Amino acid sequence: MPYCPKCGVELEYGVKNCPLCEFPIPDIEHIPTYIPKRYPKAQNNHPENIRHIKNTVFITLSVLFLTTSFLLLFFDKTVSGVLDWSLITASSLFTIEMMLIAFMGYSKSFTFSLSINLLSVLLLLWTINQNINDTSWFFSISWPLAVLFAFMIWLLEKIFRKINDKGLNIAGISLIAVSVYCICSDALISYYLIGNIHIWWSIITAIAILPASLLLLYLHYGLPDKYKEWFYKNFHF
Amino acid sequence: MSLKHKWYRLDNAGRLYASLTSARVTTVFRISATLKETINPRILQDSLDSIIERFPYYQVFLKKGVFWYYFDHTNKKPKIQLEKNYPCMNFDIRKKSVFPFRILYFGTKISFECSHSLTDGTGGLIFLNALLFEYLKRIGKPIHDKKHPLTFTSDQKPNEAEFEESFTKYYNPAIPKVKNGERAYHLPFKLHKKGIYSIVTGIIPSNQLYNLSKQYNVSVTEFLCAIYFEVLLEYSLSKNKKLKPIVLNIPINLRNLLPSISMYNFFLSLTPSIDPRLGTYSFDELIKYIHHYMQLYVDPKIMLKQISRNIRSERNIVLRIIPLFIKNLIMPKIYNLWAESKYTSSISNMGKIKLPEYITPYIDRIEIIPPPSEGNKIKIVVNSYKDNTFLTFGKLTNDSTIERLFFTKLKKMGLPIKIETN
Repeated sequence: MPYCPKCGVELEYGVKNCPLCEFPIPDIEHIPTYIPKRYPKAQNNHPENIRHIKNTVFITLSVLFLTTSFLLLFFDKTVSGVLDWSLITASSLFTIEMMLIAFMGYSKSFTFSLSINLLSVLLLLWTINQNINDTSWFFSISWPLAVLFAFMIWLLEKIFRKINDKGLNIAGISLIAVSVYCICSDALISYYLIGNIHIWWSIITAIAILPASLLLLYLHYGLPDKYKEWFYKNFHF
Repeated sequence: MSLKHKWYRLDNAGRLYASLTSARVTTVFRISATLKETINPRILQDSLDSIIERFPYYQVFLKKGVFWYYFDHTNKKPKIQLEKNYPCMNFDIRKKSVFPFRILYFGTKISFECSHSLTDGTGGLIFLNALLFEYLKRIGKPIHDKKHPLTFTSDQKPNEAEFEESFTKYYNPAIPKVKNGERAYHLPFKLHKKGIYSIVTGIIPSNQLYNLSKQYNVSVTEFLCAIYFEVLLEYSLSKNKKLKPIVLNIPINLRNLLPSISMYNFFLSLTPSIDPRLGTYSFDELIKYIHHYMQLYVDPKIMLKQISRNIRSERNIVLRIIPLFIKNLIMPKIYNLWAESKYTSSISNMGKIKLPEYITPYIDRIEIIPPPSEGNKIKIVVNSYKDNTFLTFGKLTNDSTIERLFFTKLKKMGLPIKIETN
């Protein structure tokens, strides 16, 4: 019988490391040819159950959305002769379907999930734009704002992934991202409305947000230990 | 309750467990018997089909009422399954047509996995014992149908008292309830992914463990509890600046204190506590504390106070009128807040498992695995069978510090230990 040289306990044949102290177990001679297994190579039944429920929900909703979309498109075409309002509904359902794919974990890549969501939202916005006769705001304002939003989310995800020591810094960086997005949106909206870039309300937002974000970053990275202790002493609950 | 009744109320403990069930708090325990030869699934199924009608209170499905769950009797029979998952995992007894227990086989081993909503270890042992008896008979072993207190054979009729909800029987509104304790220290280990459960079993010769306990003039349970207290204190003091009481949960089989042959749950827990804020403790002090604690508290009168608290809570009109789906949402939180947060870990000694002498030669081992719990990441069940004592750690974590400290202490005291894992 094998023994752990470190803890001295007897172990089962074939064990590579001691289950108690992880010490490597040396190979021994005269191993029996047949060693009955006490347990099977266990499968985790939890993911199977969850996946089954998820698949059922996803397939049910997909069938529902697809059927509804076809019915509405058919009804619209039959009644009014052209595809009109039904395109907006169908695009909305398509967007929700894309979101389901992303949020229910069917896409393994974050970038891919974000991309299909962005494309489906752009499709929805374009469809709405096409059905409103008096504007062409999709190309002027909608897609730049949507792409910018997606880009900010993508960038934040990359930054968060790089950070090992997560804490108040996450909140600080997120607030900076909100400020940057507000300033860019302000610029785009003003250019769309008055023909030149005029930043005003986003400055107020940034003035309100940036000090808080810098404070959070300072608390996380810059505060000496003795002040952290003081902070903990006075504000613990 | 008459056999004519086709549905059964859950007992006081079972009501709580039914609402708690989740991937990490499965409330499922396992009792395994290892035979000397490979299990024949067909004969095992036949044996199960034969004995299940002797246990009508187990031939049930869990159903939802408006306010409480109940067990609905069924004429269907449970199917045995090949063991392929981790032990004691959730098999969703709240689904339609799922029995609250299952019989698994693997190699030479037969396992009875059961939700605590149905019964406790004593009920499970009786059922497994009956199944083993029937199986051995059918594979041609020369066993005789002798009378034994643990053997419920298929040709006997169930006794009315087996259906008894003994908590209610012993409830007396005049008895004051016990008070709740404070929050206990909890092990800070990272949890496994959902659906994974680690088992570490230490096998120790029973006579040597018994002799060692006798050197301290205490029982084996008291001795092991003192060791466990020492391990948890050592770990807590090495890791935590802020100290909290170390509280053990020790289930007590009430059938040994209050007359009952109920096949439902009939156990309560004692919660001895050591407070490291009061200073350091020597092993002798721990032994002395746990010995006197058990002498004082393993007492029917003290148990009646606990029963009083539990039944009084169950009969609270506010709790009763809350619809079941809301109970299912709030019960896990209440259980965590009022029960699991109050103790650090659990150690249950099922004692010496005695099978009839005509079955014993064919059964190599009986082992019991505790149900996993998110609040108490590590639990221990102790049982002895033939010449060995099995100390089974059920863990929802990969960290092996606690069992390493535990078994190292026993090893230093001169006990030979064999370690097995899943």
